Amino acid sequence: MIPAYHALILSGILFCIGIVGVIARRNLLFVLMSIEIMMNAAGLAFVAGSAIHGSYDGQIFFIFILPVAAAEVAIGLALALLLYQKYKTLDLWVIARSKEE
Amino acid sequence: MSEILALMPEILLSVGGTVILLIAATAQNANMRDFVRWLALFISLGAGFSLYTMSQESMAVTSNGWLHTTPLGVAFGVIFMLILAWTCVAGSVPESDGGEWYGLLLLAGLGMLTLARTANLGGLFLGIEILSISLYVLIAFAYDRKLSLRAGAMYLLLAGFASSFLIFGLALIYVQYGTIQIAELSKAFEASMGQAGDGKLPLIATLGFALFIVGVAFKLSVVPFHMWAAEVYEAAPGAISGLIASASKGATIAAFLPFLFIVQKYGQVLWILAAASMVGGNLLGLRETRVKRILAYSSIAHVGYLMVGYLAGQAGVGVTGQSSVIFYVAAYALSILGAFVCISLLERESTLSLRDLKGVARQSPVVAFCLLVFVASLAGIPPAIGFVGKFLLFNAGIGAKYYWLAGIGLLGSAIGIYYYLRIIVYLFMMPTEATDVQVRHTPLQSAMLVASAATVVILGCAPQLVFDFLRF
Repeated sequence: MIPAYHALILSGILFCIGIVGVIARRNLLFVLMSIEIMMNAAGLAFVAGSAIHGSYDGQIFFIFILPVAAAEVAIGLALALLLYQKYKTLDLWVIARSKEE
Repeated sequence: MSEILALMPEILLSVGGTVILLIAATAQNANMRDFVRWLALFISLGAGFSLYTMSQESMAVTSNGWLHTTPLGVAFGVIFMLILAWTCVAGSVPESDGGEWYGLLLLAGLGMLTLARTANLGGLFLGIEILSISLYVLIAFAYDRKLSLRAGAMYLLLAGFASSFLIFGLALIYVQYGTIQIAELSKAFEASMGQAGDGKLPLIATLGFALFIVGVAFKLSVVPFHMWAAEVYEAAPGAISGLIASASKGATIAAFLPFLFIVQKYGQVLWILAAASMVGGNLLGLRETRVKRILAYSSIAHVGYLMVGYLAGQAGVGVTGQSSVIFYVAAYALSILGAFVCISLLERESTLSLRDLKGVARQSPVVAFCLLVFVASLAGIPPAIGFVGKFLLFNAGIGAKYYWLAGIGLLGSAIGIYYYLRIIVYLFMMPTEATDVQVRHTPLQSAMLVASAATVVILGCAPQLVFDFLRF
């Protein structure tokens, strides 16, 4: 039996990996993935909290996090597609520095 | 039955928004667009009305502890629904629209309403996400322009990043206290503060609330987290910039108000954030020449003023602080929405700079005069409503012994007057020979602008009407 606090620590590690990914990565797709990792880390923390307290609130919360993260990524991918059509790249630095209208 | 009635505004908005999106997907012609606009207006007014009438008989009705009906929530909700209705009618819609615009607006309104009425962390999270996800699309709505596409993507990444901080913070708070009800959380928070006897929080809770504050501060674009504001406001369609500045921030403040208990522990942090954005926002605005960016920086400063009222809402003087925040959200929304819509009427392909304002007064005195009233209200010049709002906020701040903060606020707004006056000077006092400004607006839009400019002045002279109407 793995103690619930271990899951909490894992979620903290995942969250930090996500932060590093968002900061270090330059490709839009990978930044989206890193944000997804951070959100799911929060979901894991909720499930762990739910196990610690023996209540279902945390698990319900996790079920809410899933579709929200999916909706966010759906729009993110649509924007990524359009950005690629306009800029011919998904490199955020290139996109951010391009000056033209 | 009463539970259904208590959820009526949310049901109207979510069903209405979805139906409009479906209509927009199937039929695309001009008649349909007009129909959809009036439908959206009707739905948002209906939602506001059902919320407003709800407050009389079923104030205490809660549905399963997720949403509740409090005077505070009703007041905020009614303000947001009026903002939404106003945006549906007065905002200029990008040409690429087939009706989706209004569906997304209604869904954004659903997010705001959820934030205003939420009783637990789940509602808070869902409200923020519904609101932001609709805004991502609305910001990038004119997607044939590179600028707005880029701003939409940037807002998506940064807001998603901030949301994950917020949600991880909520997760840690839940791990510590084992509840997602805000009311229970408040009790547990006070208990855990007293437990160790030294007023210290447990580590997990400290971390959780810190992450939570970072997430909220980002949504409010408070100074260290403000970098997205100028870019997004500049590129978004005018009505949407106004909506982000007024309703989106107002809704976040509304959801943050029940968390007043954290001021005991994090008062200092919030103090610094408020002071930084009052000074920083105004200073950043000084050197800017693009009008939308000026308003973006001014909105950063205005959130700082709002936070003075928020801080003043803590124990004892709660009513003054909270009612001043509500009043200011309403006053600010009226002025900033009007200002952004005026600017979107003047805007051509490129972004509008101060120099382009020359000659507008001659070309279109109505728009120029309305813009004058809105900007005066933002600057806090009497008799506009913004003056009363600021007065109430700083008054509440002084009442709660935040002398320094109120002083910094006054200093900040004194700095701010410079760039507001610059807009007015360019509008009216610059000599013009040839002007290439062309103002396109429908009669309905100018009627709405004049009406809201008049409202700004009337309510500025009789602020009691706002409190009477909101019953707060």
